[in-house]
Amino acid sequence: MIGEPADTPTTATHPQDAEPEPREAAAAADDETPWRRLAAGMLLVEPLRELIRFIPLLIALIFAGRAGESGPPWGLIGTAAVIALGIVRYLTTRYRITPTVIEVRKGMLSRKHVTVPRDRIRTVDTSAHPLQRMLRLVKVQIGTGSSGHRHESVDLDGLPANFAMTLRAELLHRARTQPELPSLSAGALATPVAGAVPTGPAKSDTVTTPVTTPVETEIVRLDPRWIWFAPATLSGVVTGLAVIGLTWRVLNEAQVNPADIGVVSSTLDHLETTPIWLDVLQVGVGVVLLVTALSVAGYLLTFWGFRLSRHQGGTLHVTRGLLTTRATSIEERRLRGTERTEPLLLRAVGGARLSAIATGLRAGRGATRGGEVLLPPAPQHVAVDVEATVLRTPSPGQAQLLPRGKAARRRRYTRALTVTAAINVALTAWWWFGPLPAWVVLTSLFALPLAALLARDRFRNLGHAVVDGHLVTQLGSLVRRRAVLDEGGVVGITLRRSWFQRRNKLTSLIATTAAGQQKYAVPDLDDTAALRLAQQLLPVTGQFVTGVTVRPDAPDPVAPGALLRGEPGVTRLPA
Amino acid sequence: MSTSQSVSPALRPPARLVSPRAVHYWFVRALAGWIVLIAVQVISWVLDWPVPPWHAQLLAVTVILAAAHLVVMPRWRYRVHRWELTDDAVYTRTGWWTQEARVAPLSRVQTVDTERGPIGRIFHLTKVTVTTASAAGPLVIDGLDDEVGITLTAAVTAAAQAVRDDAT
Repeated sequence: MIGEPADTPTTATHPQDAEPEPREAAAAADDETPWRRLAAGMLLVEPLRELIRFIPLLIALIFAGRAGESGPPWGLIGTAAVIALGIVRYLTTRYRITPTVIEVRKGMLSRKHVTVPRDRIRTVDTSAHPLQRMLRLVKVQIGTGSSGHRHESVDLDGLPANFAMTLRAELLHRARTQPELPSLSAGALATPVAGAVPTGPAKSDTVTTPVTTPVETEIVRLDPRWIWFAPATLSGVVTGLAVIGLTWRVLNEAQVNPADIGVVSSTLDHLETTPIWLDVLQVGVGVVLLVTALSVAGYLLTFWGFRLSRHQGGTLHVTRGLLTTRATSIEERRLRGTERTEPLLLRAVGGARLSAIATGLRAGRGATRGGEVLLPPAPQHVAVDVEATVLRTPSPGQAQLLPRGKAARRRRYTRALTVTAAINVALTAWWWFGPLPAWVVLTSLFALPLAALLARDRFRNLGHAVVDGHLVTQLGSLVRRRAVLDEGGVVGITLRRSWFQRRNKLTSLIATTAAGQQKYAVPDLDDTAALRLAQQLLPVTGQFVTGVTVRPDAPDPVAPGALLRGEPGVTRLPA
Repeated sequence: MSTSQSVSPALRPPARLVSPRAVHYWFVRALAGWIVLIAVQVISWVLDWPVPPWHAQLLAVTVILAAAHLVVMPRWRYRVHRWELTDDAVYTRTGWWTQEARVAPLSRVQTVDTERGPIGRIFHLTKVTVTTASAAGPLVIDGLDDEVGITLTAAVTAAAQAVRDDAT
């Protein structure tokens, strides 16, 4: 333990002091519950983290100082200011946990007071970056389960790990009779690693303490062989660009010309001596190797120690991360389905990802876009298995999907080819009238067969089914997605028809939901199939559906033709 | 295609139309947009900017498109825009080129918003937005007579409260 200079009687940070308080306080004692500060270790963590963030600038300062006399050391002043801000943030943040609410006060100039009723708490997620892990601290994010953009959450950045784990278990399983509490009081001092939340790298694989085992079933854990799926996700491309950007910035700040660096200049010299086709080959291989290495590194950082388990209290737990560890829980009550994602390359090597469709989960970026990760890129059959376990039924995952009709197929080709052809025509015109070289036009012609292939794959991937109370919809080619959505989670139906779709008697059905991406589309169904599906997913739709006599050539009462010919539209007016 | 007479299920249009004044409202709203675009083009022509070439031709195309849009869109839209409130659901239809029918059960309704924009106020028209727990797909009824808007808002609110559940 580190020194705790700011410690006062009201800022108890020791888990053994802090933990019994909120639980045993009587409801009447709300006002007497003391306000606490975050763990004092944050006084060390915050400035260090800021310093790390300012490393490029500091390097630049060192170089600049060597180059000659400069003005006041703005960088150092800025860093000092940031450190001071971090300390102020620590000193001004207080929280308290009463039997009914969680309250947080923060800010110096504009004071903010957030109160979250405990019965509104839907998610309690924890994460710890390496600095925090060294000091056994965690960041706790408490979510109230409002959906999408209206999401509110309370962050407590820097609680002692043991206390955080107790808090988490207690907040999430308040209805149960707290069976894991003994494990915490017994294990709190010996191992700060409680339950499924690893805060130490070496311990993460052995944390399944005897006490938590009976209430928790492991669904899946990372198989190190899955790492070979990493390059197929192309995540390294993004990382690579970020690394190049950062390097560029550092060099820029340090006023170093990249060509002056030994490795770079010798590489450039070497490339100048070899023929151009060899250059392309060499650079190509280099890029592929770099992307592969970065993808693997990214996969390890994000998913190392990945473990998905089901807790008897009715939650799914996800823990993952090599340096920064995260623990997320999903209340099964809030789970509305799962989504399987297969980017083209990953699909080609037989891999898939799985994420949760749940209400009240932050819609994150990167790995958690569209829902919390239930499975990192892994073999497809594993994804199907995990999906079945999570949904407690294998049928949606195994369901044979109904294909779409001919009109939908035609529409895929029309759309892909029209756009590509239009671009081709434009390029040709540019070449004819302007400065565009002919080889660009010739190369662009190859896009046509590629577009046809894309259309073919897009059509083949289209499919839907309603199985066992779940809507299954699959679409996409470059990224194929297969969503399984609980019918009970559908809060609205949109039936969309463009003019072209109306001519082809096609309807796109969109099921809206409070979970995940908020809407899941079933594009280009035949009109009657769309209506049937709409009624199945949302029975109230039935009252708006009539069996009517239709002449094929006519008139939706609102067709523009009818309007222009002056035919009477539907004039049935309200009673 | 070959069946000349067949009975197949179809979505009937929602029962109620929006206010006939909505035609003028949509016209003015679209006109404002086109005027801005045309003004930019005229200025660039007068000042002889090099950026959009072929000033005259471009302006001609814009004017033709604007005219066509202004003639067709508002009336077409008026034929499409409809709404209906039943005991257990809200049902709307919107759009013109691309049309959307939306159904939401009252039990899933979370909020009902009323909005009067600057142009809407000229024509005494109200926009009512019925949202569900989903961030996607609120039901929007634009161009309602102010009084109808108030009545509808009250009715949906009352009905939603009567059947309210968790709504997610």
